[in-house]
Amino acid sequence: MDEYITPVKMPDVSTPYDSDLLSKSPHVHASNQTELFPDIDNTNRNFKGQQKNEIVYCFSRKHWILLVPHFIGLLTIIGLIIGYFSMAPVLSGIKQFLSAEIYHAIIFILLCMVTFFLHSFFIRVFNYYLQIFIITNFRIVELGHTLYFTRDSDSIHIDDIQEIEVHQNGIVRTIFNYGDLVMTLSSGYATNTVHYVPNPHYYFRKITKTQRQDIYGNLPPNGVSNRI
Amino acid sequence: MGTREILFVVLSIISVSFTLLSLWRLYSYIRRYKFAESEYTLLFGFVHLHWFAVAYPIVILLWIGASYLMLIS
Repeated sequence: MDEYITPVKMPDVSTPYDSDLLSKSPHVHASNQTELFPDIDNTNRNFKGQQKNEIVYCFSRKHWILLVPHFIGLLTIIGLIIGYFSMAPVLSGIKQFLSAEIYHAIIFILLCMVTFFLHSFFIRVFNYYLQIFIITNFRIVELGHTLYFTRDSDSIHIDDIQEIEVHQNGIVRTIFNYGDLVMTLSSGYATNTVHYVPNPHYYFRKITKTQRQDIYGNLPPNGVSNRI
Repeated sequence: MGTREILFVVLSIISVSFTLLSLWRLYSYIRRYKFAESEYTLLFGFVHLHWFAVAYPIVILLWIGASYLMLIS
């Protein structure tokens, strides 16, 4: 039977949630919530390559704005198909004008193109669901999988992130609340950018808190605020 | 059966086969990557992946029917 870990549900970002998250997690010993490495076996539990004590805090997909052009294309195709069937008298005139053979050859080419488009549309939607950005207690994992062509995985350990930035420039990005997360790694000037992240400020705070938790443990020392 | 019909049947078989292959690959992926969806991770906040997985073969079959009508008209 498939057993799902419920990734910690994204709380209201105004609430402090670090300690809440771990205390609510069924995989953490209730007796010792400060323990960062609970004795559990999560190997390959949520994703391939997940480590033994690795807990998925949350995950995200890209913003839906990426799919908007494909939905517009689908609506256009549907409109053209409806238009074709509603314009039958006109088309019969074209058929007589062109000759039946040429007309059917053109129709067949159009059928092939629309068939290709329909498959392409669904494959792109599936690919949208397969591309996941995961935050765990150890690292940030970006799975850039597609159904047929790509199987990219990228992992950055929380310790290796020196600086994190949110880029959310432009009216469209601000209105629809998406942007890029740019992580500068401690090994020089290398950066890793996650594009089209929905609600990027939430993930910015989430990574910052995970880093702080990695350094100080679940309970921060005195003087360090638990709130963002 | 003329050339037109043969080409149509070939196109339909390829189309249906590709649909089945895509769905098989999709569900084999889902079995390996298990994430509990929430309202925050669904497309537009409510569209499940399974809805598209069900819609895909239906749309393709409907399109095969529609394209047959277009071809014989």
